[in-house]
This record gives sequence, C-alpha cells and structure tokens, in this order.
Amino acid sequence: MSDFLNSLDPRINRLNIPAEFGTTFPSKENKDQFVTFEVFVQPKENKPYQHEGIVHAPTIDMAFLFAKEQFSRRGMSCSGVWVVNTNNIKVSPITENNEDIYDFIHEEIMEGVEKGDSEKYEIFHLLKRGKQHSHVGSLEATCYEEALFKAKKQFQEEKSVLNIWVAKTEDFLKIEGDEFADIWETLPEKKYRDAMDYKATDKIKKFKAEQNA
Amino acid sequence: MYGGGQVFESSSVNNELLKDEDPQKLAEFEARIARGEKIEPNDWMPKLYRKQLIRMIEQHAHSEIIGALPEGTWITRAPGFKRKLALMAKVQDEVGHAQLLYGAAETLGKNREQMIEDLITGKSKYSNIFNYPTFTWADSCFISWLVDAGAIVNQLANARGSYGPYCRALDRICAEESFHLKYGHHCVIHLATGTPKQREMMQEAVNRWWAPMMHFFGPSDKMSTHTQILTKWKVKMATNDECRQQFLDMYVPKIWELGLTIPDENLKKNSETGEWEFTEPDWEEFKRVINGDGPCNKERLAVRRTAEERGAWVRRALTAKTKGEEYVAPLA
Amino acid sequence: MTEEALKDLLYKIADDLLILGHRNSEWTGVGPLLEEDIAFSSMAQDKVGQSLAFYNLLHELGEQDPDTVAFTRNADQFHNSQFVELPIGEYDFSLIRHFLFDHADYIRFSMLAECPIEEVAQVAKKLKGEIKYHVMHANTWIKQLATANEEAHDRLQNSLNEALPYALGMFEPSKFENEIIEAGVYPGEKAIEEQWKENIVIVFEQAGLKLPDWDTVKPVYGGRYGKHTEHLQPLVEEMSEVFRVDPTADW
Repeated sequence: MSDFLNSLDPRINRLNIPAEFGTTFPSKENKDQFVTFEVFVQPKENKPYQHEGIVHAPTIDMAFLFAKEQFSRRGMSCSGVWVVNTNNIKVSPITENNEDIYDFIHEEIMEGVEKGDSEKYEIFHLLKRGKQHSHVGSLEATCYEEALFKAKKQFQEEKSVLNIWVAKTEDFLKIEGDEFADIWETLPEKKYRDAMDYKATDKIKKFKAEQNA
Repeated sequence: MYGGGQVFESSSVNNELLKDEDPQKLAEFEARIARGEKIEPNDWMPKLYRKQLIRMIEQHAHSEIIGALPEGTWITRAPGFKRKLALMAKVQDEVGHAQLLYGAAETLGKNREQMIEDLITGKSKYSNIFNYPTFTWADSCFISWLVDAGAIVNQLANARGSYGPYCRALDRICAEESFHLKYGHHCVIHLATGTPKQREMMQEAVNRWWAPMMHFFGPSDKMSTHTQILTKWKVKMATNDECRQQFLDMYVPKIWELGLTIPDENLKKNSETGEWEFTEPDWEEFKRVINGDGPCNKERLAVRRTAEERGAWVRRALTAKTKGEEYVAPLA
Repeated sequence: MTEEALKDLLYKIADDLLILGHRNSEWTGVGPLLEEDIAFSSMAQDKVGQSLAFYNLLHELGEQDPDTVAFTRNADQFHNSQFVELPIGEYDFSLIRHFLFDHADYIRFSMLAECPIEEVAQVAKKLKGEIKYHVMHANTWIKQLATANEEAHDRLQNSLNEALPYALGMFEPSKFENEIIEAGVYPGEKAIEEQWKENIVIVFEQAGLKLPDWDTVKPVYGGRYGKHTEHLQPLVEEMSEVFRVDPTADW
C-alpha cells in the first residue's frame, strides 16, 4: 500500500498512482493539441442556430460527440448541433457598434478572386460586442467573397451587423432533424441538473419552528 | 469555481510592457471599455491586458479542473440516487467549466495543451482551497454550497468585465453554478436538520472548512497603480475584500439559521459600518499552502498528471489522425 | 407469466445499468481528454438514471423503494453480469466495454419498446434515444482509435479479447427464459446475442479489429444468479457507504 498514493478517494486508490512523484514534473510533449471546431446549437425548431463555443477534437464526427454533451446537455430541448472546423470559417473585420460591416462590403471584394462551382454557404451575424454569433441563413455562391457580397443583399437589416462569419455548408457536420430528434428526447427529464429541483425552504421553516418551540 | 488572491503579477515588468504601447490605440481601447463595450479577440489590446487576462482565465480554468477532484472523491459514495446523479453532474460541470475557460483563454493566443502543461509542471497556480481534503460526505456538501457560493460572488463580478469571450464563458458558468449552489444548500439543509449524527458531520465540516473559506478570497488588496489600471481596464472587477464581505453578508446568516456555528468568535456584523468583522485569517498558512505545502497539493497534481500520462496514448493516436491540419485559436 | 419472472428481468437490467454507471463515473475528472471526460460522464449519468427508471418499475410491482433496493443489498443479491463489475482498467478496456454493452442494450431496449407490458415498453421507448447516442459515441471512438496507430489498435484488440468471455455473460439465460419468451415480453437473450454479434462485427470490420471464432469463447456466466467476482462486494459497499450510515435518515 505504501508504494501507492493513499487517497481519500477510492476511485483514485484504484488508479494505483505511485506515491512518489518527485517535485519536478517533466514537460509534456506539446504535440497532442487537437484542432478546433466551432459549435452551433439550435435550442428548438425554427430558432436560429447560435454559436456556443468550441471543442477540440481529432475529427469532425468526434467533435459532434463532444459538442453534444458540452453544449446541449441542459435545457428543455435541443433540436440540432452543427460543428465546423474553425479553419473553414472566413471572418469579416469587426466594426464599431454603430457601424454596419455590410456598408464596407462592395462588389470590388470579388475582384481577382478565384471562383469555383456554385455551392451553398452559411452566414452568421454578430449584432453586439459580447454577444454570440447567430445563423441568419444560407445562399448559393462561387466563392467566400461572393457569398459575403450576396449576403449584403439578402441579409442586411436595419440593425447594424458588426461581424460576419461565412462557411461552406459542406464543411459542416449537421446533426439535426427527425432522424436524430430522439437523442435529446429525455433532456426535460434531467431535472437533477437544474437548480429548480432543489427546493428546501419548508425544511428550514420546520427546523426553525422546532428550534423556537 | 474560483476565488481571489494570487492572480495578478505586480512586478515592474508590467510597467515595462505598458511603456511601449501606441498612445492613440491605447486611448481608443480605454474609451471602448469606458463606454461599457466588450473587447473581442481581433480588437487591438495592450500587451499587459492580454498577459494578465491569460493569467487570470488560465488560473480560473485550472481551479475548475483541480476542483473536480475533492468532490469527485464522493461520486461513487454519494447517498442515494438523487445525490449521486446530482454530484456526478456537478463534478462534470466543473470539468466543463475548465473546457469553456481554456477556450476563452485560447482566444488570447495560448493553446490549451500549453496551459495544461503549465498546470501539471506546477508553473501555474490554481485556487488554494482545493488543496484541502474532503474527509466526509459533509465536506463535499460544504464545497458544493459555500465554496461555489464564494466562486459565484467572484464570477458574477468578473462577468461584468471587459473581455467578450471570458464574459460569455462566465455567463454560462454562472447559470450552471446556480444549480451547484441550490444543490449544495439542499444537501447542507438535510444534514443540519437531520439526525444528530448528520448534524455532527455537518458541524465538523464547517469547522474544518471555515479557515480555507476565508482564505479563498485572497489577502486584502493593496491598491497599487498596477491594480488600478487593471480595474480601469475591467480585468479586475472587485477587490478581494469586497468579495469576502459580500460572501459573509449573504451566507453567514444562512449558515446560522441552520443552527450551525462558525468557528470564529469575533465574527459579527458591525451595525455602524455595515461591515463584517472577523479574526484575521492566518496568511502564513495561506502562503505555505500556495507554495506547495498543503495537505493535498501533492495528490492533486499527481492525479492530474496521472490522468495526462494515462491518457497520452489516446491523444497520441488521435493526433496522428489530423496530421497536416493546423491548430487555430477559437474565433470567439 | 409470473410476476417473479418479470421482476427477474427488470432486476438484471437495472443492476447492469447501476453497476456500469458507477464504474464509468470513476472516469469523471480523470479522463484522457477534457471533452471526453464530459461526454463519458453524461453517459454514466444516463446509466444510473436508467437504472432508477427500472427500480421504479420494480417498486410499482411491490419491491422496496429504489434507494433501499440499490444501496442495501449485498453483492450476491445483485443480478448484473460480471462484465459490468470489472474494474475500469485503462481507457481501452472501458471503451471496449462501453461499446459491447451499449450495442447489447440498444437491441434490448428496442425489443422491450415492443413489449406488451405497457409500463416497460414506455420506459424502454423513452430511454432508447439516450442509448442511440451512446452507440454513436462508441462506434465513432472504436473506429477512429483502432485505425489511428498500431499502439491504439493493439490496445483495443487486447482489451476486446479480454472482454469477450465476460461480454457473452450479458446473455446468460435466466431461469424464466422460456416463460418470458412465451409471454412475448421480448424475444429472449439468445435473440439479443445473435443480433449483437451481427451488429458489432460490422463496426469491427471497419475498425480492423478481429473477432475470434465464437465457439472458442467460453462465456463467463453466474452473474444473473448472484455469483460475482471479488470486485463487486467492495464496490457495492462503496456505493452505499454514506447511505448505510443511517438508511432511515434523509440525505
């Protein structure tokens, strides 16, 4: 027993960790940093997908496995999760709060840009610093620049847009729709993850009454 | 969960960092913060701002991942289904918080693996309170309620700070912490109003954890010019003393109403100043534990390091899958 | 069909889930990478939650309340297969067990979703979605890891070889097997086993993992009848350590 670290945690004791680790730890090889995937979640059908954060994963299918539990394990419902490699998102410059980034986007941005076949792109808007990017729709284009220019016509709104993300639809892994609805079905029953499930004021009242009696 | 203290460097190196900044860019940056707008990753920012934020968010992330260990101790032993499910979810949340916070720090230019390396090599700190052991179930209940309560005080303040990605992570974290707080309170209420044995367990836990809890917020801040600038930049949002006072004000009455005593006979609210008075915590002990000589420092790092070592083959194999693909920092 | 037969069926399902849920929760906080730590913990929670749903069904059939049933019995009163009580080992073993168990459970729940006993069918139908994600998780991990490099492949192959005799123990027929099949509750353990073998081989082929000739694998039976390895009793005591301090107290 003395050869192993003796913990109060029975789980840790079963790991049989050597008791003596020494005081200086060797540097770990800095090679296992996975790439980054951005995660978008749709809380319920007909609501826009919102950027929720990132996961690091080796492949896009694993990115989904991770994203689901990190970003959709709470709430009353979830109807879909999208993941996309961060490398595949093109980002516009960010403007001041009262400026609209679309006002700076003109036909010239497409000059000299190589065009491919027409395909689908997804467009995301940021409306305020500190908030999250939100999906506004998709469109057909032959390159990112054209997608951005077309987005101006299609998605510019009264409220100014500070920052735009553009990505090809084919670069996303989208887990959504009827085929996957059941994997979120028991969410509303996970009450134990919710503060609402821990009411005990009656117990305190009863205790106080007994103390005073 | 995370407290104060030991976060900010206050060496003259920092003043050096500030000296070379472009005065016009600095003025625009400060004006943006003064207007109450958030800074986003691609905005210009002073080197000192970047450095101190990385340091702060990284320590916060480390505290979450190490904080999973003292409570994780009770996962397999938690009494009954309701407590088991809750504790599993709660410890999972702490790991999840680390994931969110590392992501926020990464937007500033340091990758996660580098941060984790700094944790397991002992280069980078985490909250001192997790260097204490959880002897009984009641200790884990104390942490779930009161350590998380302390962390919420601190985190709610920081969520009003200036850096967008950190604020977004904190908003999420605070929402989850409200479950921790209610769950922890629920557990403590059940013990304190339960059988004599349960009550005794709970009182002993309060006795054990009160000193670390007072240390949690860190020593009194001396307002140097250095912390002034971090306050102005909305990196530091409340002083250690402010957080400690707020915690005492909110939670001491709730502890007392359960008939529990707090092991500090000088603890009382001064009705004139409205401030809580208490015995000065033992800051020598605090320093000793921070510098590695606490009851569990060695175990916490050993466990974290073991997790790294035993998971290394998994990461080695999977990184082989992504050869040629470049790591980039999260966008937001 | 007697009520005893139904209870036996529900007990073995619930006990498998309770014990494996506890085993898998041992990874929480010490997993091989942060995101997986979170995902694996969710699945451990699902398992414990699913076991509760089955103890609740048993409670409706007159058994004691779920906490008492789950946390006051001794090891020899548990009906779980020995497979789920084995220690977590290294991550390759835990992943292989997760894969083999969840594939079996998905089939079991799909069958029970068609069960003529309405209460059982409802629970199975509802929980099937959770297990669907567990299977997605298991398939993806096994495929990605086994094809990543030699080290990972060999680890998984060794763990698979070690796990298979125990995994077959999941399908140990109960003494009420025929009664239950005749009553049309579900097609029985043999049917699950056959389907399971078909399903896992598809993934193993993609992953480059080899299954032995089934005739050479001797199933480890006994768990369904209360015969367990030396690992279960300490775990059962640990799971109930606090609860047993005073089972009548409100924790």
